[in-house]
Amino acid sequence: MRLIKALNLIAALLLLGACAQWTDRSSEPLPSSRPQPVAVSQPIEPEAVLPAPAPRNESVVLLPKPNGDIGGVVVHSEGSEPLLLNTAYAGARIGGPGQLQAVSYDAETAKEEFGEAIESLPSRPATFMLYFLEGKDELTPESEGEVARVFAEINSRPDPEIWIIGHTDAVGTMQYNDQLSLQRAERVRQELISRGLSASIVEVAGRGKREPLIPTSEDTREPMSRRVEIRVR
Amino acid sequence: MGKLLTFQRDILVFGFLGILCAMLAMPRAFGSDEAAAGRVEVAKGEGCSERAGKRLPAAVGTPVQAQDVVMTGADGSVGITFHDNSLLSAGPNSELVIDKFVFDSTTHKGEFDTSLRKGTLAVVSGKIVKQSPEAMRVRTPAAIMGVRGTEFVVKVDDPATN
Repeated sequence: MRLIKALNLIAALLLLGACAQWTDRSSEPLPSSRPQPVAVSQPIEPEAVLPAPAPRNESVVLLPKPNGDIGGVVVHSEGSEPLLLNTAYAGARIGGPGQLQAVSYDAETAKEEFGEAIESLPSRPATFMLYFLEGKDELTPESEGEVARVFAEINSRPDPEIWIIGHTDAVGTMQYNDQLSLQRAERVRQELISRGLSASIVEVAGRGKREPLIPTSEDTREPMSRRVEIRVR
Repeated sequence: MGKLLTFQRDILVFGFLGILCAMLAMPRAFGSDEAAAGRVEVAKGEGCSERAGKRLPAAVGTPVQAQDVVMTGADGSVGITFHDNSLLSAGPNSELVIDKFVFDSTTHKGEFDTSLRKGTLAVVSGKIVKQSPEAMRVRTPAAIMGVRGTEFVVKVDDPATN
């Protein structure tokens, strides 16, 4: 029966503290607040009071992007010059203050050390474009067909989340285009909801003329930029 | 027989208490989506999210916001998608703090700060970095990484386990 009691207790603890197996810093015993005897006659050397910082072992590795771009990361560490990593598998090791050094990895060693984190990256969002008639929030006939593909993508994901982002061409003021782009995004949201999409998984945003698909001079009409981007993730 | 009944009753009581605790903690900690910076998209093994001292399992769909601490166990990993399309994932035995997330979905201006206390982290930068390079920073106990649009991984060995 003692065994059953013990099992009982374990079950209770598991239920109550689902995640309590990690160290809770706040529950660590506080250092005693009683005054400690101080040896006044023998002042302690400052070097003896401040222990050397514990050696660290940290590393950073730049990965190639699926599309081949590299980009860059600047590593700053106390007591060292900043180090720019801008080639695939360029890395840095930090052993503590003043101990920043460049190291190079390859695909295999990076996978060995970081594989589990890399494999858990969420899948990249899928992007769709719907185009609009000039100055209106009505879809072009071709884009009507694209809506079906958006739904197929949404249905293929276990727990989808949708962002609808409106864009305009460069004709008109910033304010006018911010409003028009949001109106277009809102129009698509309504359309998708009327076709059965749950309103709770959709967010809208208007980017105005900030992100033209085809950059043009001010006040140039560009049908390719009058669009709504749908990101399914 | 009597003892067996007591055992069954205790299990019931504790089970009920556990469910009650989970229900009470839920809406307070995770009910509001207002401040959400992102969402858990991948959850393997043991993973937890701590907000204002409360810990909840980091399940798929759990919102993530600034000040949250994401923790994983020995077999755990958690992948998060943020509103600017940044992706972060923590490998096993990791502790990741979301220090700051600010993102304007119209201008794409923002700031994104995270700290890896221990473990491993994979990062794919998003729209914030595209708009303003180095507006995303990843801190470790000994370094700060300024992100200029890229994918990279970071590892912090926990000195306590060395």
